[in-house]
Amino acid sequence: MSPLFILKDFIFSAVSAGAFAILFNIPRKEIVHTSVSGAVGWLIYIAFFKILQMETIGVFVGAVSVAFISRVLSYKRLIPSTIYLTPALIPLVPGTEMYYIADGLLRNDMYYTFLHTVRAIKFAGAIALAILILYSVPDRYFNMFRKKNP
Amino acid sequence: MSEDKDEILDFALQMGCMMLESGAETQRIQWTMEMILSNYCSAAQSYVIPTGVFAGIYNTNATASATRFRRITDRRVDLERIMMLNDIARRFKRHELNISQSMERLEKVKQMTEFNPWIRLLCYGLISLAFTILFGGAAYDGFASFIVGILLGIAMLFLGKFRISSLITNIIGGIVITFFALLLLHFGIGLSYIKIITGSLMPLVPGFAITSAARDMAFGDIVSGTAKAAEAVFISVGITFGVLIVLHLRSVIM
Repeated sequence: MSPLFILKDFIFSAVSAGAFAILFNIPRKEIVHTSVSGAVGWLIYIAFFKILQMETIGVFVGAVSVAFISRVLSYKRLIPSTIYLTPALIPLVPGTEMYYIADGLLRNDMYYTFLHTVRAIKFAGAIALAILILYSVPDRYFNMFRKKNP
Repeated sequence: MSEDKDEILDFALQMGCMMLESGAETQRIQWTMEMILSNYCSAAQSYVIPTGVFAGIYNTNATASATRFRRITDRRVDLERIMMLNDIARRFKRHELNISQSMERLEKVKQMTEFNPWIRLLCYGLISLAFTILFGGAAYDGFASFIVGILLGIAMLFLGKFRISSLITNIIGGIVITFFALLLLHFGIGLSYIKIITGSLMPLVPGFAITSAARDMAFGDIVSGTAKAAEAVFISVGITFGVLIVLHLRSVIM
C-alpha cells in the first residue's frame, strides 16, 4: 500500500465510476460527487483486501460508506440518493464474477463455477445488507445535513 | 368525479412506466405511484414488476374503484430522468401542480437528450482502461483496452439503433472485444489478452442488474429481485458465449 498505489487506485476507480455515471446519463453537476464517492468505496475495499485479507468484509464496509455518502449528499443537494448510489457502487459490484461463472458453465468446469458463484452471492449479499442497514437509519439522523432554506 | 379517476390513474401509470424505463428501483416507483394516487383517495395501491406496472384505487362505492396496468418494452438507465420525475411527483403531492400541468412536464421529460455520442464513446474507452489497471494490468494493457473499449462503444451505439434482443447484443459485444483484443496482441499492442478482455468486458457486465437486484431483495420486493438476478445471469452468459466462440475459433485455426 504505497502512496503511489493509493493515488493510482483512487484515480482509476474515480474514472470508472464517473464514466459509468455518464453512461447512466447523470445530471452534469453531480459527476464529480459520484466519482469521488465511488473511489472512496473502492479504496476502503482494497485496504481491507490487501492489508487484512478480508474481501467480503471489505465489500460490505465499502458499500456502507458509499451508501452513507450518497444519503448525506442527497440531503445536502436535495436529489434522490439513487443518483449517487448507482454509479458509485459499480466498482464494488461482482460484475467480473458473473463473467467467470458463465465462463466456467460454458467450459463445463463445475468446481470453478461453484467457487465464483459463492463469491458473487457473498459480495451481492454484502452490498444488499449494507444498503438495507444504511436505509433503515431514520430520517432525523440525517436532517442535520439538510440544505438550509430549500 | 369518474373522469377525474381515469385521469389520475393514467397519470400515475405514465409516471410509473417512465420511472421503470429509466431504471428506478421498484420500491421508489411503488411509493411514488401511491403518493400520486393518495391525492385522489386514501386506499390506493400499486404493484411493480420489471416489465410492467399495476395501479389500483379502492372505494366502498364500486363505480369509483378501478385497477389498471401497463406493460413496458424498452429499458435503460437514465438517472437525470429519475431526478426530474421525482421532482414532478413531489410537486404534485404538495398541490403545486395539477394533473394537466404535470402531464405537460412529463412530455418535456420525454424529450430530454442524452450525452453526446462522442462523450459516450470516450466513456466506454475510459471504463475499459480504468478496470484493466484496477485488476492489475500493466499500463500497456490499459492502452490496448482503451482502444478495444472505444471499438466496443461504436458497436454498442450502432446496435442501440435497432430493436434487437439483449442476448444478441451481448454476444456481439463479447465477439467484438475478444476479436480486437487478439488482433491488437497480434500486432504487438498489449501484453496479456486475458487482462485486456476482462477489463474491456466491464461496460457490458451486469453490474447495474446485480445492484438493483440486491436492493430490491433488501427492501422485500422479491419478485423484481429474483427477476433481475436471473437477468444478470442471462446477460453474462451472452457475453461469455461471444468471448468463448472467438477464443475457440482461434485455437482451431492456430
